[in-house]
Amino acid sequence: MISRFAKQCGGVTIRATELCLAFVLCASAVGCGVSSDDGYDPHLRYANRSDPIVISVPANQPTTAPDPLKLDEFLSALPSLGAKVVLPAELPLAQRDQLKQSLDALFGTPAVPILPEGIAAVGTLSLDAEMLAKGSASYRIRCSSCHGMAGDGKGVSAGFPFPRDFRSGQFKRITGVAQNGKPRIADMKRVIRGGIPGTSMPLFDLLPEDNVDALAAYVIHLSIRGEVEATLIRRLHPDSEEDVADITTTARVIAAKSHRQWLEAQLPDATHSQPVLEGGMLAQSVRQGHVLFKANACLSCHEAYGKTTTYRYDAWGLPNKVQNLTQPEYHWGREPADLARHLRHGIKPANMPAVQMKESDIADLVNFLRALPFPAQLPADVRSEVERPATGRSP
Amino acid sequence: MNSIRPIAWPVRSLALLTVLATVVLLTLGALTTSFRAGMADPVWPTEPWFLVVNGHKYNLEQHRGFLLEHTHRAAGFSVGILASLLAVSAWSAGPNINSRLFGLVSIVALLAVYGGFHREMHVASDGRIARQIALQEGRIDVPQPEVFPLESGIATAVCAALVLLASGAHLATNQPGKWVRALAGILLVCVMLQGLLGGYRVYLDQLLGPELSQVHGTFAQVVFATMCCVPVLAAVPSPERQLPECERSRLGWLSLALVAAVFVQLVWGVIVRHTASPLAQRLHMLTAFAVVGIGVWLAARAFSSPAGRRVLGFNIGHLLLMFVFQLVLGVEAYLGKFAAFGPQGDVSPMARRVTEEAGVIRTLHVLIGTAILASSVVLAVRVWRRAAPNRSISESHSLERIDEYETVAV
Ligand code: HEC
Ligand code: HEC
Repeated sequence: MISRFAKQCGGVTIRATELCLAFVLCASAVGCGVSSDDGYDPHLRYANRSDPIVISVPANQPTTAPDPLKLDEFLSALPSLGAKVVLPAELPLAQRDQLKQSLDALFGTPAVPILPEGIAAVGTLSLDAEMLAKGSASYRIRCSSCHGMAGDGKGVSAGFPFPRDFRSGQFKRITGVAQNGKPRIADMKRVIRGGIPGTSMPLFDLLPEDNVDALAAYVIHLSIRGEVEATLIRRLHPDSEEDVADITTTARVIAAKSHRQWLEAQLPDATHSQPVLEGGMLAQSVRQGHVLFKANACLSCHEAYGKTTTYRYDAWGLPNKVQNLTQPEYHWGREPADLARHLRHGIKPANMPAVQMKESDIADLVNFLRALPFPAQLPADVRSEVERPATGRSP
Repeated sequence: MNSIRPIAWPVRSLALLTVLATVVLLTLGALTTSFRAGMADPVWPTEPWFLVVNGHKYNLEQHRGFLLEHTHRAAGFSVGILASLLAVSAWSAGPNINSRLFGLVSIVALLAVYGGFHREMHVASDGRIARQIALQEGRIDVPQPEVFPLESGIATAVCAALVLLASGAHLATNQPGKWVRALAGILLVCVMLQGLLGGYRVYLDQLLGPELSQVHGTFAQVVFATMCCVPVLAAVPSPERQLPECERSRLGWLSLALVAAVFVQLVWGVIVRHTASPLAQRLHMLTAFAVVGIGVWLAARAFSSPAGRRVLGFNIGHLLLMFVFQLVLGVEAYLGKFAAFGPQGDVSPMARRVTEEAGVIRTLHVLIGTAILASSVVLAVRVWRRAAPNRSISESHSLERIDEYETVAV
């Protein structure tokens, strides 16, 4: 009796197990399907900007970098330190809704990004809907975890140094003549391919060319959209002097202006050329460069040649680390032409000033900077000064 | 004493140590995913002692993700070492000289070529970085190094296949301790594969995106569940810890159904964690009912007989307890991820900031899920493990007798 009952139960269990196994197979099949979609959810819309727009930073420089998880708290404390900020939340609700509608109409959604008509390309890089859609799908899996869905630089994996907030339309690696804050497409692609040494920005050196193009196009989309949004928020703010008659029309005008800047930025800077020196000539030039370095207040920010860790506010109101110039890992390139450009134009978003100098002085300074991370390349007198402990006083 | 034990005590202790080290590894891995630190260091491979040597260069307070990712890598390395020791020690005490030789030689060969493969990956990775620095310096003629060292990759695959073959062939024999030895071999291959999955998740991130991390996360569960069987099988059970045959037929299939259901549930969990896919969210919730249903059904059957209660009582009891914890944690983890207000409510769940509490809750939910899978696999092993039906108990301390303890009737 018992054994018959057991047998019956056994039959039921076997059937149940078979069902389970069938379920496992279906589950695995669905699982593969579920996980391999690569674009954004079509229902998703770009969020309203909620973080403050920093107009000017506090007078006293920061002493440390904020915890990336507490960035919102840090930004909301900025006004109490003397910064001037515009808070999007202070716009009337109706205007915020209108702004969102206009932006959605002009720029689409993350899954189907578009640009206002008239903005079709930057140089040879097409910005059409197909390109942007491809860029957005790639951006979602590769970049959004740091740069955020809207390009705000506040993605979940963001650490310090903070990922670029594209919405200000300002970049650091710029080799164009215009120096209007926008990079050349070649600059952006070089950053994407090569990453930024010394930061969390990874290399994407294995990606096919068309994918990098699409990414660059999508970054431009995010950047123009962010600029339009921020500018409109500033103008619509109750404290603003400016009048905005129609949000959509104004948005188009701002977008067109930003696009024009992108176009102008594409003309390459005349390549900086300086003679390649050797031996005693080089030592003399490095020595001269060192003198210029001290004379041009470089040490006021790059304390002890940057060996002392110091922070300064950047254009986004965030603390940025002042580069340690004795380490060979530069963010924006160590080619003589790159270094000369940093000196001639400064690094605007990092608030590093430009220097006024004649070409030969720039060449000396460049030679000094290139030798600085490698003590063996510095003349003995210069080296002893550079290697003095960070806090030590001269004897 | 050792002579009548199919598996010597050092091997059993090593197996336990490996399981413990893997718990640490899984915790770090789960934290890495919870806090989205998987790509904190885009460079792979790195040395396991990377943080010890280079830690001072990084402000680790600002790079918590970096700290997590590198301790996870170091823990993975330690588990790899332990799994290698386990495989070598389990195989070096095999009674049959032929299978022992075959097993040991293929394991040692695998370790050697795997080491070579890693060295070549280091070279390739360094080459990629050197090329990028050269590009920054304006030198554009540096060629892209080979991304995948093909020859040593194939050699590793061949040696891994040999180890699997040795393990499989050993199972077909009737030697005492064969299950432990075979599992130790299989485990070594799985641990290496899991390490490579983790590494390639980082190395190929730019081509595949975070996709591979789901495979890495799922396979971790499989490896851990397999690993937990080793110490169980390596211990010699007393005769009263055997299930009578009739109990086995009542519980056998159900115990397998539980393993299958828990595994499916973990696959949904992994997808929810890595993609927040709407379909996977629903399936994860629905499968939870199925898992609890099967678990309770199994418990009711096991507890209805004295033998079931005696042999499986503890195991099932703590499984049920974990179900309770897991459901509570699941609800909390879900709310922490999918319910948001304010600015965070405007972004998709995967793009929201992970608060410390949410990250810890999600990690615990993952770990208990892993423990449930391991526990249900161990339960199934206990159910299916079979004593010789027609031998007398008095023989139970002879070598042959123990040989039978190692027979698992799957
Ligand atoms: C792990 C985080 C991370 C990921 C992923 C990431 N970035 Fe970045 N990115 C950064 C950081 C950090 C910076 C800024 C460094 C600085 O300013 O010093 C940056 C800067 C940039 C810049 C600005 C360069 C400039 O000239 O100012 C661009 C453009 C950029 N990233 C594009 C991308 C693209 C496209 C992707 C995806 C393919 C991507 N990033 C993925 C962290 C990341
Ligand atoms: C007002 C402060 C300030 C002054 C003055 C200043 N710098 Fe900088 N400098 C910075 C900051 C901040 C950065 C980091 C830029 C970034 O975000 O990567 C930097 C970066 C650099 C870099 C590195 C660029 C790279 O690729 O990483 C060089 C080179 C440099 N400075 C040289 C100089 C020289 C030479 C002078 C003097 C003529 C000077 N700086 C004066 C603030 C300053």
